[in-house]
Amino acid sequence: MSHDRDIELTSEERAAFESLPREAASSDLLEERVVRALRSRRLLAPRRALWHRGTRLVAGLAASLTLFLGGTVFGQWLAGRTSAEALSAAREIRRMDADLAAVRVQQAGSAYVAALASLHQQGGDRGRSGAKRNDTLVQGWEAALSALRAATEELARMDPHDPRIAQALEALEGEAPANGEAAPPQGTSQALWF
Amino acid sequence: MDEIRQDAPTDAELAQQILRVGDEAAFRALYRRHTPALYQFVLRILGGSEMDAEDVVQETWIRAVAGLARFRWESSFRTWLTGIGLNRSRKHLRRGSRAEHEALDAVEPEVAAPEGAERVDLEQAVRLLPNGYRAVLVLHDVEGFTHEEIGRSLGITPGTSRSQLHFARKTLRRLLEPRGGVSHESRQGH
Repeated sequence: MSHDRDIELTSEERAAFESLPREAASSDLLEERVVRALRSRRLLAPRRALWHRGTRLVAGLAASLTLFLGGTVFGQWLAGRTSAEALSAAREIRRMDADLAAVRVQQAGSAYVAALASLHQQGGDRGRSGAKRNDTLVQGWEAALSALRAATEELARMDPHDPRIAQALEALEGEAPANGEAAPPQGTSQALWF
Repeated sequence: MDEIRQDAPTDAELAQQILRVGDEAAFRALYRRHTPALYQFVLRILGGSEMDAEDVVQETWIRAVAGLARFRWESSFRTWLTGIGLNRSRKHLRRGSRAEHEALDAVEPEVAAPEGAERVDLEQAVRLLPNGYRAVLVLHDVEGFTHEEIGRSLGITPGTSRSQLHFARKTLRRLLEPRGGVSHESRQGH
């Protein structure tokens, strides 16, 4: 059977067929519908996963940066805190040393005065004790003056403008011999101090 | 559609992108390149229902992307896509009615132009054809397929395709005749 030979298209009909449009615009929503359908069947990469991958990267970077900055700030704070504590401890130690030194000065001063009182008492018995006892007294006197001079000089270093200390130094220097050594009240020096 | 820039990726390159990473941008490019022609074709095969045509276009793309890895590129992508579109259209028509089977029985159905219409244009006339006639006529006279190709696409013999085309053209001419005017056949007879 050759029906198409029986009914051939005329040139007008052929032209009419050729003039028919070959393309047509579908609705704008169709593309999105098709893409969604393909995504749901995992034939296209899901958008959420792509977004998630990007977000995860950004979040990771942000977390790393935060961790780094946090660590830096914490480290600085810790270092500052340690420094402050160390400084405070050093101040405390220095303060304790000063207290200790003051206590020792008081103790030494008391011992010095007690020793001088004892020496004075021994000096009252000078006539009864003979020459040997006299020598011991001179040595004690000499040591006392040397200690007093050294203490006065130390005080002058601590406060050079204190008039009382200046007067004490002048008085002690008046007692001193030309070579700077402490002179015994009587006889030759027999002890070396400081 | 024919104005694809020379530096634009080819269909095969876009298909590779889709297969490799499910690239949405590549798919959209392929979709925009071929959908206008596919939509028009499906619209004609279905007889002008835009809603149905959109459903079929969606099904066609799903089938195409799912089977992209099996496509051997022995024909053009558009020809392959049109084939899928035709199959989905026929399936859609079968779901909707039995008209196609009736037409394929090669019994010439009665087709009339709408009441009150002075004259129908070619597009309207094609739309009014029974489904089976319309498919063969569109494939042969609009798309330019041979009877052998139509036979393979529709699962019929080339002879059946010729027979369908004969009845389709005959019906079409009747539909295109002006109401009350002289028929094409009567003009040929004189």
